[in-house]
Amino acid sequence: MSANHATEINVLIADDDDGHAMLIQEHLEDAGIHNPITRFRDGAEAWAFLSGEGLPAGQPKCDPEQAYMLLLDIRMPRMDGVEVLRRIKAHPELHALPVIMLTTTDDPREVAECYALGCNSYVTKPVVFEDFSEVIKRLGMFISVIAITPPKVSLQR
Amino acid sequence: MAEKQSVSLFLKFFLPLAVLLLAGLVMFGNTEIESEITRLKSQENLNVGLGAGTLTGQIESISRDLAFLASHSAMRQAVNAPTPDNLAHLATDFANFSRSKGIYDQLRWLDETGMEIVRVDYVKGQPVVVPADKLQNKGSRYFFTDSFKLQPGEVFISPLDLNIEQNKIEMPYKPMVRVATPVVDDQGKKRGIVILNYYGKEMLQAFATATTGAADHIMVVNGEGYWLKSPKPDEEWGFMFKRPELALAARAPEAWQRIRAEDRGQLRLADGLWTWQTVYPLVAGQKSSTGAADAFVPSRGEVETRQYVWKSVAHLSAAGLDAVSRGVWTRLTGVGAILLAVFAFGSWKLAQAWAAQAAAEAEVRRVNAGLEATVTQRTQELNQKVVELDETNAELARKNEEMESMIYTASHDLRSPLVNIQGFSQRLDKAKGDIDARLAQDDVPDAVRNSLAKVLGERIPAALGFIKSSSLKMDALINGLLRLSRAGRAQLTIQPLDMNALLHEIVGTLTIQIQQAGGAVTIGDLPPCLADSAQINQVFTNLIDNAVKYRDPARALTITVNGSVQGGRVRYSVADTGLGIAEEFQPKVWQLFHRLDPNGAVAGEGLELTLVRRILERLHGHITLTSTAGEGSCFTIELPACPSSGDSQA
Repeated sequence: MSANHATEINVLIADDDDGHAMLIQEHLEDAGIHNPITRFRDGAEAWAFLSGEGLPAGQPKCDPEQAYMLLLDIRMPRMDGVEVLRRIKAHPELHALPVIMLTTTDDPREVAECYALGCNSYVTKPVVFEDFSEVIKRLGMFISVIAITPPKVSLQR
Repeated sequence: MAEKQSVSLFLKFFLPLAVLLLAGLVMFGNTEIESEITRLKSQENLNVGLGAGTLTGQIESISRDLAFLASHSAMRQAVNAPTPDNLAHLATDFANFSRSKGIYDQLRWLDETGMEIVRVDYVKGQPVVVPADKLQNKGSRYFFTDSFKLQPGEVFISPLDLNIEQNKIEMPYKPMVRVATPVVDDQGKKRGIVILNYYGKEMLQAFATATTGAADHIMVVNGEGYWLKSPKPDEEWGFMFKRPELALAARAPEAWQRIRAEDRGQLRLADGLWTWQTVYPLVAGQKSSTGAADAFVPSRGEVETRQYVWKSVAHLSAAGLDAVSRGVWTRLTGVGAILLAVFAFGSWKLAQAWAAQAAAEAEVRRVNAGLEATVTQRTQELNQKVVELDETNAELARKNEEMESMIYTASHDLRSPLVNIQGFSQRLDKAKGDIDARLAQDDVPDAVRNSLAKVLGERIPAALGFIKSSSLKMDALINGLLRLSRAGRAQLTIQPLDMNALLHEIVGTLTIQIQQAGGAVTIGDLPPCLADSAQINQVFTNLIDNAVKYRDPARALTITVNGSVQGGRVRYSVADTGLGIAEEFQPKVWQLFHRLDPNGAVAGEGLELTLVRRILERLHGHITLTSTAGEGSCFTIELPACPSSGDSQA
């Protein structure tokens, strides 16, 4: 386990909103997080990448040798974030993947459901941009922290 | 119809009553007649007895008088030596005796030939010594012959008959009883008889007096049934005139047969009621004869003491008895008629009353039946309405849910673009910062810097400012919608709430705001209600928060919370001394996003009261507002009371 590995955590963003995705990316960069970022346009795309199910030919698939974390929106076309979370947590190899719900929804029932399914954190996208920056900074800190843990463990246990 | 019913009821009441009454009257009448007859019978017995009493004893005292006269000294002297002196002495004695007694028509001494020797008549209350030349020979009369045959000491008593004077029945009739006994001289030789003529009219008069009450039907007959005294005087003394038809034996043979045979008795025959009692005037040793109607006919024979009888007889005619019955029936008919009339009147009134009541009951039943039908119909209609209402309610609930779900989704979808607007505004601001920094470098010509100064220094910051504030406002509105939607979907736990604790908790939470506003909150004794704790917390928090927000800076703020229970409902009031709301704006306070003063200092989405009302609706509650601008507002909240809590004022 090298330090290189630790900084090489891949950040996966599943958000159908291009603007949101871009804002998250930029805020992360502003916060000094320069890890590789992969963005998916919906839940189905993210699930295909993670599980390999229905993955179009030539598209990259997640590498078991790599460390990942997932920022997951809920309201998305084709497959919503809750379904993606459920599949990940039910998957024998993927269930240890850190998942942070990052969504506009703050409905307590939805929050409770996600925690019950096993999400690591639930973050509401604030409208106020100062708040948004703050949130993403904290996410960055979170990513720094999990970056210390061995990536293989996070995927294969 | 009621009239017909009345008549039938009347007959139902009256006929049995009338039958009973008539039966009762007949029984009573018969009893009455019976007792009347009984009374009459005893009265008859009494009269007959009284009459008999006047007859009994008379003859006996006469016999004693006779015994005295036959043996007194003057008599004896005259018998032994009939000298003129002795005879005169005897006449004087007789006269004195006659005067003192006053009941003897004649006192006589007849010698053994029947010649009157001394005779004293009683005329108009005075004894008169009959002179010698007027004396008669009575030797052929039965009373002489019958008397002279007797032994000394024996007494002859003639039947009661009419006096015969000079061989003719003396007029007016002179009923007479002759009592005689032989007189003997010292040698024991019979020297004729002493005879007293007892004037029977006295005795019969006494009889009449004693029996005045029955004068019209009481009589005295002798042992052969001839009348000695009768209500009809022309029937009397039939035997003196040889008229056997003038006797009870001929007139009423059936009755007479019994009367003759029995000492006393009472007999009811077709011709009436006979009552009689026998009088035996003679005592033992006294003799009588049957007497003779003619002056000189020997009597038909001696009669023994037991056979010398008079009979006191009363005969109450059948007509008289009928009159008794008639009297009773007449009396009872009057009484019966009055009673029948009373019964009839009573029955009629009762029948009318019953008929009226029956008619009223029938009317009540009819009305009730109608009512029942109406009630049934109304109930069916009502049930139908309830079903329809339930359907409407369910539809409403569905729509509500649908709407809330829609609001939820929409508010989320609306939020996403806002995140971008905000986020990229920030990026633009950051980019402007980069431009500013670049422009600040020395290699940038002043002309360029100056030309961009207005855009970069004023226009772009202003534009970014508007974007930021508008998106914030939109976010607030969306948040409000979300809260409203969430309030409508929240799970409710309805339970009794201790409102005192709840309100104190709320006030505790809001302490800082209240203190900053310089306000004071007074909480009365609040009754509990049935509601959801979190939702009610929201309601009162909103109301008190509102009161603090819309306070009047010119006046001290006082918030008063009170409560009371009325008919299963609890009422809480939250009154403040704030700005108040003008009447024309009051209905609008419940509207979504309505704000009292959109440009005022108060922050908020104008959602609190809408939320409060929505929450209370779900809790089967209600909220109303009374307010006066410039004085303050009072919100009144109504909620279901706890079943156990009674009515109270707090």
